Amino acid sequence: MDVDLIFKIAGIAIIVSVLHSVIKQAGKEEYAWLITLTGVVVVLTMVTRLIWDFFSTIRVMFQLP
Amino acid sequence: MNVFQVAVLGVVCSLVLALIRRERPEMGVMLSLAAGAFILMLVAPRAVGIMLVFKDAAERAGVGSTYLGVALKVLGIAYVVDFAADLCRDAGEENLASRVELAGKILILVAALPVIEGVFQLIQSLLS
Repeated sequence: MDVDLIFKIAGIAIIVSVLHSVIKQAGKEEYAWLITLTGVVVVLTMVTRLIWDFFSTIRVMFQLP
Repeated sequence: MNVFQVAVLGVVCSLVLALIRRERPEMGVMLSLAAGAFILMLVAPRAVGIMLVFKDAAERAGVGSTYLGVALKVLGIAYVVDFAADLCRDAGEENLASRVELAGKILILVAALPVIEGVFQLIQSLLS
């Protein structure tokens, strides 16, 4: 759980958006959306893991159920 | 975890967000969510110390620990609801944000019920 997680997410987001527009220019629209979808899924798993850790620390700190 | 690292992280994330929000808004929302959670997780261990100080002060002052527990729970609920509502608003979902806030208010009321009952009983005993 280090700060590079944030930069990893930022990197994936930038790469996916660049790839999307490049491939869209190349005329392969459906592949562009495929790449965007995989990027979103990967980032989503990373973010949910981070959110789970965040909410568990909050739960411990405030003794929430 | 000093304040400069937190500030740098916030600035860098908002710069990256400025770049990707125009192209991929959904990625932008996820990145802002991750950055917000991460910044606060860096500070969380320090906040536990604050909680302990309050707990000791409450015990020494003789205040019932139930009241402190309820206050802590309400603080936690308010904080989490605020985090989620701001995120929904950030993603452009004003409606969802107010729904989350309403649910949070109800949960806070539920958590604070024992204290409210205590106050009513106190008033009754004073009047009678």
